[in-house]
Amino acid sequence: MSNEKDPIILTNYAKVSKLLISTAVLLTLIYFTWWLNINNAGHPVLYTFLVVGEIFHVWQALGYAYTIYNQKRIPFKMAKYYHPVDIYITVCGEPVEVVEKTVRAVMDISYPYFNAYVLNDSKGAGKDNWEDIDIMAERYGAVPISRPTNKGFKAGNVNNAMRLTKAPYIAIFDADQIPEKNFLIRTMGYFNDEKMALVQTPQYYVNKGDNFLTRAAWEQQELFFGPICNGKNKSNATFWCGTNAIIKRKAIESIGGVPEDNIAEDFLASLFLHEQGWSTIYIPEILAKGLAPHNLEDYVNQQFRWARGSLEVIFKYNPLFRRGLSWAQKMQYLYSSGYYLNGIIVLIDAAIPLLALGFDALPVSAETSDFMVYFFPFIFSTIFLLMMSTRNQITFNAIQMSMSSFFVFFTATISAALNIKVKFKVTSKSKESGNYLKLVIPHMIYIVLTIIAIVVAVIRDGIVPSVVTNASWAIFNIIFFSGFLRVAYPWETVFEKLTKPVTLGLEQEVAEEFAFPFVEIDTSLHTDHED
Amino acid sequence: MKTKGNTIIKQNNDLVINTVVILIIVLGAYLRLHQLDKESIRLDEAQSIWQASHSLEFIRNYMAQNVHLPLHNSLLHLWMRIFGASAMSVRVLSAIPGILSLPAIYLLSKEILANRKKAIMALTIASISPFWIWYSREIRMYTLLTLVSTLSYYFFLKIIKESTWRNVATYTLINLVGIYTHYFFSLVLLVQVVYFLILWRTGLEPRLKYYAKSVFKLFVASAIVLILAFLPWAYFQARNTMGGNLSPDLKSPSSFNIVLSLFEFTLGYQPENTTAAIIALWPLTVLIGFVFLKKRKDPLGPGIYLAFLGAFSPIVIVYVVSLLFQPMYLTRYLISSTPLYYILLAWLLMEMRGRVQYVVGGMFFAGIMLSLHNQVLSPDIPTKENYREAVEFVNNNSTNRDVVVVSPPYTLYPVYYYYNNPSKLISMPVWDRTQLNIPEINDERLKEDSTMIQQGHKRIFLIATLDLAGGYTVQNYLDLNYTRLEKHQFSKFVWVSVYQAEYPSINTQTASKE
Repeated sequence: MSNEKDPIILTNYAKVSKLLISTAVLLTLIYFTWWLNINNAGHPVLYTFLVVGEIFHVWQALGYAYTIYNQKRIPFKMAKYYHPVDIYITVCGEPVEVVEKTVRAVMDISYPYFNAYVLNDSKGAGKDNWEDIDIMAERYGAVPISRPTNKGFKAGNVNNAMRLTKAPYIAIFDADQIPEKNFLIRTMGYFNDEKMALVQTPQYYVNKGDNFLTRAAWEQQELFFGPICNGKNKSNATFWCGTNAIIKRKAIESIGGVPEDNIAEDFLASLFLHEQGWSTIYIPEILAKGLAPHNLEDYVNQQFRWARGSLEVIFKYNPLFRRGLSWAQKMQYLYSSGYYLNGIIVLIDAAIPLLALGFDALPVSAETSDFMVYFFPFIFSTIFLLMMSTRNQITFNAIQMSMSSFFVFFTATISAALNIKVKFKVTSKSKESGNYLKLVIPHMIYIVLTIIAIVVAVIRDGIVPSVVTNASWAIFNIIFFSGFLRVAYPWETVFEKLTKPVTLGLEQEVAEEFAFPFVEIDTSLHTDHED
Repeated sequence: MKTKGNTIIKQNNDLVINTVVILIIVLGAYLRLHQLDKESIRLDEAQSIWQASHSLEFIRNYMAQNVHLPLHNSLLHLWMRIFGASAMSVRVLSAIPGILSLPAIYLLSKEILANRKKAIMALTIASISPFWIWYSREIRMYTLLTLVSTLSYYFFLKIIKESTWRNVATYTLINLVGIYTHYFFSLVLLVQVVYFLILWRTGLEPRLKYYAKSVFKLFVASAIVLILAFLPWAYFQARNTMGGNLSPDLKSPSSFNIVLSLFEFTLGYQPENTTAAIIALWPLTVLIGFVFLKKRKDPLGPGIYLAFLGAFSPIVIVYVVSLLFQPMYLTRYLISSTPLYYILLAWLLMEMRGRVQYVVGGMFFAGIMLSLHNQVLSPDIPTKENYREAVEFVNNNSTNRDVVVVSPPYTLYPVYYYYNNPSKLISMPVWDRTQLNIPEINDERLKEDSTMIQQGHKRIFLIATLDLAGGYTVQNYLDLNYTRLEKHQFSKFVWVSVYQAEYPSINTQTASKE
């Protein structure tokens, strides 16, 4: 269950020693020089693939080091004026009871001038409960805004509401994000700066204690809403995360409204805002509490949506070639959106040991120890940096779920690159769990291929160091992929069935005669019959 | 009542913990002392015994040309005068500091990890460490180096926390022993200097915020005493280095040496195939780095930085110096890194949580136990040198008409230790030990020496150590030029080959045919 005594501050910015960051950067660069030495190459194609993968890893490591370098605490600012605020609650088919909690909390916000609107797209999305939502909203004094279609999805919903409302500031919450009373008091002060277009706060998962998935999803959020978002402030590169944020109407209007042609409308809107010279800021204070995806299907939908949207920015609106952005902003946008290319890289890294085992195609010709003395300082300094920058809050599970999502990211990358139209599902946040084994077919194929490859290699070469190392890499990958496997099926029910004693409806004498030691005899039928 | 109850519980806890500590130390002592003379005296040991069997003056002069320092051999000299030179006797001198290193590492771990359970983990690792056990059963200076390194770090930390003159005096005295035990002890002092400066600069140790300068002055005073105490030896060595050079012929290290050192620190000496197979599992050690990630309070006390620095920086320094200047990389020289390395491992294991801790910890200890078992029993351990059985074979099978040849020449030391035979004993190439340098091997030299050795003898018994420079060359030369009658292996690289030395002349052959 969730812990109600969570601290108000999500993650204090972690002031990581500059010496430590510089050392990690140095070790990363030294490591990369190893890959530039062509004498280390074995199979040229596989080596090239690995170099591409390492460029990605090094880029992400350096991007992270830059992000956490010299982080500064953001002091609280009291608003000079209480500007009127419109509060939008975006709804698209969520259960009434989920939305009701949010509406109730919004109406309870302490702020002199605000109006609450429930942007109900349930009707357009063909959901049965759309009228119930409207009735509930009116009951609490919020204004329902329903559209006949859900054109433009969430972006279209917000743009539609903006046309019907007029406050200079707009707070936006997803249907399941319950704001604190002081949400506006704690955030509006940053708009004292005329150039401020967006104040973003974290997305906290109140149900993080429900199961492995919700916990891991929250731990991923902690990394993102911790050191990463804190670090973006110094480059004025904080982007809108879709909910738990306040935006300035004038700023959004200056970019022609919320972009409707991208699934990550928030991310793209932020890019446009920065191009126009607007400022944005991230406040690491939990001011709203929401729900994590509760099952693997919801989680995959969420991750796919984020990945596809972010990657579209790379393919369609590449920040490198956008005018008006500083280099630091370009790097931050590329770093964040490029993260999802991880799917391809994990796939490459996972395939290499299988190819090496199955076909004896070794990508590297150098001594293993030679690689180790470069790789170990790099990887362990990176892990250490993660620990320090998150104040020891980063978990294996968070990284495991990211790695496990490789196929989701890979599919998103391909679909974004080829501009394939995809129908997106809103994360339902329902508490259903069940059989999602279809989502782990790639993971299971990998396990089967690993077993086959190891058998082939051992038969061909015996247990030699190269076979052991590649088998270890494959096992390494499987352990990371097992995150998805763990939540793809309610395994506990299997264990329950296996451990539960078998009951047989036999007559007492017969049952005793044929009883096995582990069989619990159900004699109730016999007794009933006697009666 | 509550206070009294708490006191009783605390006393019980103390009793349990102290009992566990004593039991682990007893286990460690058993592993170090059990069948101490079972293994043959090895080359290095025989050299130490030979050197120590001379006068203290000889030892001092001899060590002036060596890469080692005179203290250990001088102690061994005195020890042998009292207890004799049997394998059991001399090895006890190594086992004692080996056993004393166990309570020392427990104290140091408590100081660094600030937790008795974690300290017990470090003690357990050290107690069953195949590497430490190996050197506790070898009469060399390495366990003494381990002990003084451990105590030096301990009193170094004590001074930072509590700068009493008593701590400073003990620290200085220990370092005095250290600087006369092994040159690589200087790395321990270097680590301490760097760590102190880091503490001073970063404020990691709160006490230093106020007392850094006064603590610094105490360290400077201690350093001055050490420098003054070492100057006579430095002066003597500079004045007395004779023409010979007794430093080992080391090759420039490769990256594999670093990996191998960490492997040997952890799992001791293993057969080459086993070592290669276990090192090949290295991706799984990366996995340990990831599974270590868990929500926790800051697990990094300042002592962990010292442990990290002390465990790894000497390895890096020696590696770099070996590449850039003079090869000096040998894993055993770096044994002073192991106390902090084991403490680091203990910290890592104890900071893991839940099932991960059980799985990783279980595999780790199972690995150590199996390695120790293998180190003791496997005949394929490359560092095992079974001269005893090789020489016994020669003693039992050669006569005064045979000649016994040893190669390379400096393996005469272990052979002499066990030699009890009327046959002539000579090295190949022939080495005059009054001339310190060993002659180079070439075909001409081998032909000349073998012809000379062969004369007047019926058979040649060759005791060759194949992994040492010249051993394989000599064996190969005799294989090609003489009829080999027998060949026996006594350990991985120690072989005895028997060759026919006396051949009938052509006239004799003709006569016999007629």
